[in-house]
Amino acid sequence: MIGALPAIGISANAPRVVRGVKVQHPCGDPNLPPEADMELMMGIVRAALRAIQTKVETPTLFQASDAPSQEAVHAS
Amino acid sequence: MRLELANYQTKAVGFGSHTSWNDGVLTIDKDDLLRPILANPLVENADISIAMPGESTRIVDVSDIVEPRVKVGGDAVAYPGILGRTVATVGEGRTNRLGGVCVVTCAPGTDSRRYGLLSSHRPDTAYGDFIEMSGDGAISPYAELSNVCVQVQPMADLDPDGANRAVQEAMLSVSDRLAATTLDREPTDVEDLDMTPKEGLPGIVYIHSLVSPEAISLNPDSTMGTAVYGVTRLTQPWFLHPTEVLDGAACGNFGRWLTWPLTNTIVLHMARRHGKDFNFLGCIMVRTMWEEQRQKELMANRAAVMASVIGADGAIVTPTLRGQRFLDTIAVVQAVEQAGIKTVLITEEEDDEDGAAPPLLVDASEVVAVVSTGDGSAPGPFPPVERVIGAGGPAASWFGEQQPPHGRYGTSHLNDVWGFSKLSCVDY
Repeated sequence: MIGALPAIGISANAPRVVRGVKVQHPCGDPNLPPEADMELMMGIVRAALRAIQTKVETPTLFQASDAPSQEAVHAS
Repeated sequence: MRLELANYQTKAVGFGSHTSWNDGVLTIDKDDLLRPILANPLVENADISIAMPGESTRIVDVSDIVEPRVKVGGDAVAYPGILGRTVATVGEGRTNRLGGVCVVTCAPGTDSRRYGLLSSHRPDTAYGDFIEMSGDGAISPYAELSNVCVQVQPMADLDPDGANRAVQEAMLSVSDRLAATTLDREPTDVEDLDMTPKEGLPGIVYIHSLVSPEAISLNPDSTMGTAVYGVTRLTQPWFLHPTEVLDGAACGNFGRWLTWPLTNTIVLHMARRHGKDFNFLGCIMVRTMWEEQRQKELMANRAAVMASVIGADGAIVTPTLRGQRFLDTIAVVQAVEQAGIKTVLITEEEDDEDGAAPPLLVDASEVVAVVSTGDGSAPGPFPPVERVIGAGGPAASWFGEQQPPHGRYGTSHLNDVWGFSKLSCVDY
């Protein structure tokens, strides 16, 4: 689940929660220039792809800013 | 601060040829009250109806409710700041109140008008915003009060904010006129609310949540939210003295969050116990509807610093249900508890969806003491009524039997976080 308010997903027992940006714009920020907005969005989507490949036991929060080993593999 | 609250308890309200208050009887000259409303070019049509307790009457299209109050002497006015009224600080001196009387505005298109962009209102469907004056649904405090209903039809071409402005102007025009009838009369009783702290008592603050419409309406001057001295912006918390709140410093509605509970529930009851059971140090009005978790946390942290600096030992916290606004309030409870101040959260519960959903949208380990005011539902169905008071010609279906509103996202009959209803439960 991608959401600006991760506490909702965690308390609803969603296994994987990715922190989004704002309530009305979970995957981007319309105030940013298009390139920066795209970069922000791609970071969140990559975090979501990373999350779904990660085995979790309890509701777990993923950050777009984390530097993950999986992502490095995909980016190369 | 010190406020003399002079009560003019009203037992009967009726129409007559001269607007006046005499020995508990409020007489209303309808034409006199309608004249300034109809003179407003933003208003197409208006009417006034009276709904009394026990009548077979249903009030629909409710947009806001206030108790008529007037400042006596000085520059300040009750319900300050809103609609260009003076921002002179209220909360001192004397205020006359018409006890037992409500001014209720009924206006069309309620939810789409109030939310501007978000419309969840379904025509002809029982939603939260109606008042039953008798029967099983008559469990809100308004059912026991004399309701002067101001039915306003704003001009059709107005934007939602302009329409709301016209409705608020009508409400305060009637409220001011009715409250002014007390000015040369003797009150039923006078409460002396001297808020000077007493030695040896714990200090308590009340943290009240007010929705800001700014993030939805994108209009910094929107009237479609509860204003503090006229300001509805998504700001950091306001510190208000309890007597300022009693003078209507926070006024205006957001959806079904109305003005009346601000002046007539927790703040009033806490002010009465000030200096006896605790020192009521102040009201922290927190804005809700922040768009990011970190913004919510910043607001909550500012509230906690305010409470710490004024020396609070405890805080009573009420939310604005439901949805993401509840998270703002939970962030406040967390920050205040982490600052070493004990909290009690008073809240309605979510609909449990037949046992499938938790009572609160989110929980946190800092939420240690909660008073539940129920889930906002009431036993029903509500029987047919003889009379419906609404904005224009209410839909015929409003006269018939109504199912009690019940469910997530505010389809609540009571919308009560103050514990003001007659609803109770028995555990056995």
